[in-house]
Amino acid sequence: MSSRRKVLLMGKSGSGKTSMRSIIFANYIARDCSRLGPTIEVEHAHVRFLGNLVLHLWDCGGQESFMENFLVSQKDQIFKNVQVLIYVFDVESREFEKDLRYYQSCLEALLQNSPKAQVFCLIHKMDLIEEDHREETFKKREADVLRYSELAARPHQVERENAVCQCFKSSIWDETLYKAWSTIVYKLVPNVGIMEEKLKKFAAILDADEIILFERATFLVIAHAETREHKDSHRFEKVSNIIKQFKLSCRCHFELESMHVKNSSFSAFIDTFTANTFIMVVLRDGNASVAATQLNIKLARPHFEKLE
Amino acid sequence: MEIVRSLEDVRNSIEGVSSIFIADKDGAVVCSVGDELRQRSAIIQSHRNVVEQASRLQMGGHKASMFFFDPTQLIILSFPSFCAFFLASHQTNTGQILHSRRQLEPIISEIRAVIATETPISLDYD
Amino acid sequence: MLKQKALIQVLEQANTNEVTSAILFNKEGLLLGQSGEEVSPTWISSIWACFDRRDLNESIIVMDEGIIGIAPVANMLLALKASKKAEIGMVRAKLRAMAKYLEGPISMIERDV
Repeated sequence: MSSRRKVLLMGKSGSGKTSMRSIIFANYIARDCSRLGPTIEVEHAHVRFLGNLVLHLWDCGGQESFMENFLVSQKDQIFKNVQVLIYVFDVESREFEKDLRYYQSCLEALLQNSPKAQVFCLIHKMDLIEEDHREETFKKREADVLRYSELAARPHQVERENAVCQCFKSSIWDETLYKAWSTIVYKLVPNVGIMEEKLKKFAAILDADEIILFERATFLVIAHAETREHKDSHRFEKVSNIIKQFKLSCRCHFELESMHVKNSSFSAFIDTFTANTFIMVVLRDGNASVAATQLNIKLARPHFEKLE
Repeated sequence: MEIVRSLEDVRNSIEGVSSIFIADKDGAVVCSVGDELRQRSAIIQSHRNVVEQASRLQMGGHKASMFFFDPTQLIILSFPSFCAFFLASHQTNTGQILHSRRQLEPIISEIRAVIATETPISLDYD
Repeated sequence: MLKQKALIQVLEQANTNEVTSAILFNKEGLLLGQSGEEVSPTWISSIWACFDRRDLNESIIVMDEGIIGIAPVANMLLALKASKKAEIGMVRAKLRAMAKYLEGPISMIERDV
């Protein structure tokens, strides 16, 4: 039954998990989130994500007493069959020590029930910290989290380099949220290395500057290949955001199938690709033929479908 | 001048032409010789669509169309206010059909004159 | 895969003797490749559609200012545009030669789709 793989999204109440989930999955944009109330109980949102990686999001309410009960009574059920744990810390929390201890208990329960799970920690709401202090604050928190992770791993004698795979800083108000989730997704996609190799070949044939694969539900970047270096390393998140905002502003219930944008210096084609991805092809030529590019995308499709 | 007879002469002068018909600018068949085609009005309508699309090419007015099908060819010659449709076998000398424009000119002038005098003549409507 | 540059190089070979442009496009009127003067495939694909039947092999439209030749290549269309000084026979010959040349590679691409 390894295809039913769970993702747990956990953290204290008010740490921002629900907003985060809404933005990444349910396609709200940041300014719609202020209206979401506190989440009560476990929100069982089954989100189909990356196709055969069917992930459930368990947005655990996080209100104090609930968290205590929940850890004790339903521990096994919750932490079994987990592929990924994403733990959210509010960077501004006044009780960081307490947060860390909660985290430690969760991690212990996880390692007991799903020893192979990957763990990612998000230090969230970084926009509330002054820009000059951000890196410093993040590094401090990261160090604490890593320390507590080690504590959690010790009793299990778990043979892992590190119980935590990675820490990220994030905020719903800039691209860091996407970057964090994209990195997480990247680590979850099987064959991503092969995919990138194939994309590179595809880019060479098409004479394209860059080709990007986006996950369908979230528009997170899964893989990309570039033949020409680009200065802006944040461009993926920007593209994701732009497309999502566009979809939302269209206010219609149709599924996006393809989009073609061009000006005198470039052409970009976004097309549904495989069952779980969109593909974006960027060509330096403003006059690139739509039909030829679509034809080639069609031809490439089966090669990628079999990788999924 | 006997319009129909002259048209028949043209048809006979080119080997392989099975029918010729002439339509006015409204798409009504004015005169026809040879095999009676059931799809005449469809062909005329299609031709009118072609002329309309072709006008967007900004290449001036339409002079002639040639459509080569497997066993047949369809040649359409445009004249002011009229057009002539030739249906022929695919071995027929296309050049000869195009060349027959010269013979058709007087025939069409005659048709124009007849219509202008408002003499009731039974016109072939499909 | 269709390499646009390679296609354009082939189409360029038609541009002599009063043939001012050559284009390859699909039946929906979307351009795949073009060489020479700019020609919109939109109207040309509409013209073809007016008489399109399975056995339609070729079409020549003579206008006051020039000639358009259209021929099918696999599931797509090839068109040549020539000035009014061009000879119809020459345009037809080029059209048929180029269509025959492209038929193989284009149908191979289409088959894989």
